[in-house]
Amino acid sequence: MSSPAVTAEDLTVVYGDKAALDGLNLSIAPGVIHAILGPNGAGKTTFIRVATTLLTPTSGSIHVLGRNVVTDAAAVRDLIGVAGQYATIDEVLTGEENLLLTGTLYGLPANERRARAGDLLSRFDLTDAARRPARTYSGGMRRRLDLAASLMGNPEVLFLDEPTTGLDVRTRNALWEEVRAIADRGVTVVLTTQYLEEADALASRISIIDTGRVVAEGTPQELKSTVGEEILSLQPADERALSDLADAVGGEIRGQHVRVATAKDGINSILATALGVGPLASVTTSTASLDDVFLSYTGHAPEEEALPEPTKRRRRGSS
Amino acid sequence: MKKFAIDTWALTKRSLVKYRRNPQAVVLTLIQPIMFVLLFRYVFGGAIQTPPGVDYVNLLIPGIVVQNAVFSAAAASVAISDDLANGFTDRLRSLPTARLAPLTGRVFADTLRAGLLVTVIFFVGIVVGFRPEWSWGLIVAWLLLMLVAFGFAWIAVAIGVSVKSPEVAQSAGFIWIFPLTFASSVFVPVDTMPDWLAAIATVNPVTQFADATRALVLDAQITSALGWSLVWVVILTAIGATFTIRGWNRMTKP
Repeated sequence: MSSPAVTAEDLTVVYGDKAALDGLNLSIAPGVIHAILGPNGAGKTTFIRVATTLLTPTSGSIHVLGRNVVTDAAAVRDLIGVAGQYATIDEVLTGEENLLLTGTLYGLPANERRARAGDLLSRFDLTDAARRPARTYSGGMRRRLDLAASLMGNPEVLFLDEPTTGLDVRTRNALWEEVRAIADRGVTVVLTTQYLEEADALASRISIIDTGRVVAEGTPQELKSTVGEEILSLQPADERALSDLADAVGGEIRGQHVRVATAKDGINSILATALGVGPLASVTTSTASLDDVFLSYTGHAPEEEALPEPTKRRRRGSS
Repeated sequence: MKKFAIDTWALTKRSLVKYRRNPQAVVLTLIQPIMFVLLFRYVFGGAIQTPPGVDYVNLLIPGIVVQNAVFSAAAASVAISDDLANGFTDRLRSLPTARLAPLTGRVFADTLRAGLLVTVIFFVGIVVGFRPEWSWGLIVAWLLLMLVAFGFAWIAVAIGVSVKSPEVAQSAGFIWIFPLTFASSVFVPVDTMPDWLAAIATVNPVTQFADATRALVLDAQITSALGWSLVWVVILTAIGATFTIRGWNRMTKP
């Protein structure tokens, strides 16, 4: 087993009196796509900022490819690439100029700089737009340029902070393909996301984080199977039967409903048990979502956090 | 050191390209000083007392170039704050960029821009009747103006890295410039001011810059004001760079 690409030990970042990271432990194997999944405010971006030398942790340690990120930051910067939620490109420069500037800052000689910029522009389908200012690019093109820039230094570890947030489905799928292609070349990809679907589609390992800690870790399959594939929402005809119903099927009361997670082949037995308690007014099923994974590992729904904007998005997703 | 020079130059070019590709901004940057020249030359000029035998336009133009060297540098506050707000600075800091190159690149870009701006104003001045002494004094004056812009660019960058948003940088970056450039000998002789203001204007570094520039461009004279100007440039640079680097290093603290 080769040594890990990224390790974090008891990593803590305290802003004022609020801990954005609260003793985070993480080990990321080399050459894989590893997703860090959590809602807004869980500490995902803070983790990326610490790992990419932008933020010094309050305590704990973090290593990238064996180098201490705090004390050996310069060496770490040579080995990593970063692309963000907000594509951090210069709007006025052309796509090509953005890449060449990044290449200069990586210390590449002029001919190598130009060759690599040309390669990346064609790989990310930006050759035609190479000489246009980046401000004329669409959202998807910006992300691709951002991704291309993050690869100018031939990084061994690539950090992607919510790379598809705000993208439409088609653009997102195209970006997923790019990320897979990058990983196929042996680059370790560390990706944060708030979408279970994205972690599921890309990552071979997922760490779920909440309030600055890892609360669960495993392959997508492992995590989903612990939550159950299907979520049943049962409404008893008689409201007074709610708690009896919840006890009988081992679910939780949510308003007028009882929610219970199960594997696909468990649906019949749950319904049978439920009907044993009394008649049902309604039954709905949905597939496991971030909410459900989250609920099962943290004991609280992400809705309970005072996060107005993403809360809305999640409600839509789970209803 | 070599990496520092290469990165600084790469980022200087990046900042200059941004100005060049924004013709509207270039035009606006030029309109304001030209309006000042016309306003003071033709509207206020006649009412301003000048020493006997001195044409006001000859006092005005060396003053206005100093004012613009300072104004031009102040743009650095907003530019650096923009880069911080939109994440571009984060990218630079996560790359193996020489640590201070994003700052020095910005300062050099604004210094060069100021050098260009004062050259344009100088020739506009010629058109409206300004008559300098054509001598080495002009070159020394031009270099002095670049140094003035350099010193103030450090102050502006210090403000840019200290404030929370580009909007704040916009006001914080310019608010100090008006009293600083008007309570000075830039537009009027200091002895026409009330005593208390004259006292302030006399110690104002901008007065030293304007007096030094006038002596150089009108008479090719090296004066004590030039000496004081250089001292002030060193002081401004030292203060600006100290606070800039302090703010820059603080950014990695949570």
